Amino acid sequence: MSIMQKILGVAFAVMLMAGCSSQQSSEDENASANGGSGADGLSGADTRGIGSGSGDWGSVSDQYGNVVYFEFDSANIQPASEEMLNAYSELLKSSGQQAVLQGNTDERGTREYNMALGERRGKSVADYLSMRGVSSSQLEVVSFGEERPAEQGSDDWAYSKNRRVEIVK
Amino acid sequence: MKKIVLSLVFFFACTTVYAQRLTINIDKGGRNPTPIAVIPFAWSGSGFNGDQVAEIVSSDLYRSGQFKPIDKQSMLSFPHAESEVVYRDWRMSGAEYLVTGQLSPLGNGGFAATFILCDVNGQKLMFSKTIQGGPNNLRDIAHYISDQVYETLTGFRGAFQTRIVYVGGGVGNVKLYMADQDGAREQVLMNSTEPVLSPDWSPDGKQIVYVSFEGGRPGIYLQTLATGRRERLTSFPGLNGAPSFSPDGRSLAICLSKGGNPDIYVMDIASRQLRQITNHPGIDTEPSWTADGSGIIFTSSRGGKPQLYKASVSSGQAERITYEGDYNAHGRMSKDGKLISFIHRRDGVFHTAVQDVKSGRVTVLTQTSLDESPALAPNGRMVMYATKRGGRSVLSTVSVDGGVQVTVPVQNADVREPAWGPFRSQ
Repeated sequence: MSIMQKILGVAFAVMLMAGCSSQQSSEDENASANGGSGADGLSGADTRGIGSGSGDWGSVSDQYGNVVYFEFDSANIQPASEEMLNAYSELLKSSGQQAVLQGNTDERGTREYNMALGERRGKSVADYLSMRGVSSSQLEVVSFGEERPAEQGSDDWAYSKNRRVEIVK
Repeated sequence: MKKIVLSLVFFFACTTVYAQRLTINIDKGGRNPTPIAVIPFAWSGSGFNGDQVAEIVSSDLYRSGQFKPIDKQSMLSFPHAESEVVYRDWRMSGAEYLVTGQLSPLGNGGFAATFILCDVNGQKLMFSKTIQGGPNNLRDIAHYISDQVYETLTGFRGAFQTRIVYVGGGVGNVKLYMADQDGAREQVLMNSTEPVLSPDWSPDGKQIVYVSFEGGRPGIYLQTLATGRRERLTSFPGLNGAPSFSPDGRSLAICLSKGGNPDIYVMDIASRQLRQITNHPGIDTEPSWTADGSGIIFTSSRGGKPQLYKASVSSGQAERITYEGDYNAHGRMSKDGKLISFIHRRDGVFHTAVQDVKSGRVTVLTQTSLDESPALAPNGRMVMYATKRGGRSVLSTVSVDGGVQVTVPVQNADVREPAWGPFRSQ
């Protein structure tokens, strides 16, 4: 229970401090691609009568993007990602939709080991969402390792953009 | 696919006119390669080029790290038979050995190559051999000559007639290629819009296995080279990765995470039956077989950081085999069981390295960074690996005793994941 309170507390603090300004640089493309792929882009949040912080997939991904970033060699969820994940967890709980959590790594290290690291990151997101009440049957983790970089280049900036989990329908 | 069949149809008719069983072990290694003169071959008839044969042989010998072919411009003469060799001149040029020969057309459109190897300092003929091939076999013949020279002078079997497979292309446009070990005669084996990785050869060289994400999920696929026929072997939930053929060709060691986390399994290919080898909450992946097939080398995070371990295939019992450094992964044992090639991080840089199995001594082979996927030649004397050059991924080779690193000149500008094929039976 105390973990949950902590998470909520941090999430609330992040919401207050950061608004919705975080991580909108590289994942816009993904967000719009995913928003466009569904039929619910403009359907609004009213049809399902769900509570605050939730909405349809398009509006959640518009507001938060769909990318969770990670530190080097880590699969830990960073506080900065919690607000977004909380919104996705509300969305998934209320809609019952399926989500695929695509784990990715930067290019350093061997490809199959990175495949396993990408899966760890995906599972870490899945665990967080499950802890927030999303059914594990709604979640699938697929790791792409270092095979699908979001950014080319062998520098710290590109690496930081590539260590990620993309939440897709 | 027709091309593959054609090149397999290629046949040898080799007669050894004079062969002294003489082995000179070159232990100077790549850091002090032996100077050798590879003289442009004489040729008559059209379609065969003696210069090209000498260039291919020179390039093979150079890439081995054991030899330093002397410059064509510094050659005083172009002898094509031992009777024409003035040993004194060649000694002055610094060459310790000399290779030359001639090509002559055969009635069937093919040609015969007669070639000799001379010991410059000893002033004597070491061998004279003849080989025949069809009109499309110039490269095969040149690699055969390289093998004969390499074997005679080093005592190790040459691996210049072997082939490689590798992956090329960027996100959304991925191709699996096959080529000669020097990057020539590249051909596409399959295309995908999704990632393809981890190819491995069957020990008989007739099939390859790899991971493909076609359909958005990973699966392990088996492809027969002669027919192009493919079949999916696995598509379990989670990881389906890192397939490695057993030395007898009957089984694959693979990584699956269907049990909740990545573990090593062995699949009997005929029955598709699975047997779990490791069972640990850490990451276990990148399996490959020991030379005798009794053990599996794999990467595991069970000690915190990735290290190489060896598990018994029968009992699953695992022991750690690397201790130097905090990142050792992608281990592959040489066929003679003496060496393990792997990726070794030192000072934050990923290098290709080898470990001597008996002594445990680690030798870092490369000065490049971001090395990946080292693949040992079937003779265990060279490693091909992927590395970054100018922002692109390239294939490179290095001798197992260090020294010369050479980029493999393939067509696709972005290549990775080399797998070195077995010796081709003759």
